[in-house]
Amino acid sequence: MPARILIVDDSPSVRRLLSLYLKGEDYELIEAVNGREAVRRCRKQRPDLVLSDIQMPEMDGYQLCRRLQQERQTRDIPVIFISARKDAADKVKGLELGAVDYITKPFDRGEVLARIRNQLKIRELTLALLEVNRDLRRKQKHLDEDLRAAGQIQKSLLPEGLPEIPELEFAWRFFPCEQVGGDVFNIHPLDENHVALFVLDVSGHGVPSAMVTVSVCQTLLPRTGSALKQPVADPPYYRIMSPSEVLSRLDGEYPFERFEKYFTMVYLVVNVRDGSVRYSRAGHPMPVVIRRRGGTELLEAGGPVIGVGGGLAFEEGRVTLAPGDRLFLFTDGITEYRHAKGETFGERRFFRELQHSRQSPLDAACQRVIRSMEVFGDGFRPQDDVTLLAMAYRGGDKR
Amino acid sequence: MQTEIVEKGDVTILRALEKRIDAGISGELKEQLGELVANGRRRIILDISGVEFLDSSGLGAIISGLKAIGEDGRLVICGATDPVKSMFRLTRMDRIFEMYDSEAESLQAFAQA
Repeated sequence: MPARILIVDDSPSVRRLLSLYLKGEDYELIEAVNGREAVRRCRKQRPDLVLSDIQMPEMDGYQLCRRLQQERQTRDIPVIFISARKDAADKVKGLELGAVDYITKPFDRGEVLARIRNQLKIRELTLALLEVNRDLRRKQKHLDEDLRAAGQIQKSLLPEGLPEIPELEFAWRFFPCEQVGGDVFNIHPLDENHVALFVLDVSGHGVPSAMVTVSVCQTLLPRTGSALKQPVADPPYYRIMSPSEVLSRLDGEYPFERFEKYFTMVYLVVNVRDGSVRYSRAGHPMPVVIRRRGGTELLEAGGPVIGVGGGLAFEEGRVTLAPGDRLFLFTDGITEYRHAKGETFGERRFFRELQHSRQSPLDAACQRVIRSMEVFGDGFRPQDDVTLLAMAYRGGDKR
Repeated sequence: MQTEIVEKGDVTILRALEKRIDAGISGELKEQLGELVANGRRRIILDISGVEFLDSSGLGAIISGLKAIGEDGRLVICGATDPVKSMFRLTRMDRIFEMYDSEAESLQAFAQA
């Protein structure tokens, strides 16, 4: 489609001369005799460029420029002034009003054509850029929506509300550092006496890591898979898998090559009758037990991260909780949290907070840790996903 | 990511010249290790003596190097600083990787094998 150019001048001879100059070119020409008519034509015919005189009856070139600027549909039409005024001040005024160029009479055909060509080129590029920008914004919006949806799906993997197990109390905090994260945890009752807990942290974060968490969570569902409970021929017709068996199985199912990811994890099985806990950890920060009377114990037993498959065993450990004792599982998003000057929050600070709050309600103890991170970091902008899962043992006689 | 490559006989030393290996540059470390392996290097020493911080993606890059080099190759890590060493200990990766304090010790280990 040829570019449409509007020529605005009250003098028929100037309009004729300009038309003559532009005739051999591939332009569609329209004309107006003053600013008022030019505004009307711009609204209706949307020229790609306006060539306008300055001094005209009814509405002059400056007013024309101002009017075009005021309306959204005409704002982007470039205006070139053609005038006998040679003063720099006049040119400056025109350019300030939004004109894109200025041609002084008497004009030369070559100059007029060159300036028109330049402005049309600029306009074409500008329109293309606007289109690309619109397209990018659209795509960005889609991505944002997808990420939000992914975040929702990931949240659905977390326990819904607090599980009702009379012997145990739970509380947690979970903050992915992006909309989706590489941390996940859950609590699964295995039978009336046993409850499984896990926290895992897939290397990296963002969408790829989040998708791995979804896959692992599926594998760890007690009802659909056999990773946590295995059917057997004799009553009670199932066997609860030991923590080291669960981790070994995951190590086999999630070799590093599969997703170019590894993960660290803690898995434990709590016997709610007697408070005994069997656990193993795969390269994960050690869970910590806070005794009711004040001791702090780290659960060390374990093996390497899941995915390297070096044939190393996942050693298993045991610990027994007395009523009032607490167990905290967490990811390194807490201990490795760094403030602006580079110091890390660290284990010592973290454990001290847990000790100080051991008489407070469990949820308040979790909140105290997050508060302390906020104060430490002067605001809370985690660089990594942050997960804290707390469990308190109430005793085996609660039914 | 800044590195330096030194050849000592059939052993290739890749020196990491960065203080931090985190998500920002771990991809490049992974590529560089992958390239060495693709170019037929089977005996590699990764010198991380200048690295003060290594996060999970950095460890991921080194694991991918170990996987790339395979059973018939050998990847040795040397010069881990205390914070990096404790990260390897915590994740039990000190049992997966062959680790030495210096390049000299690493080269000796290759010479003996």
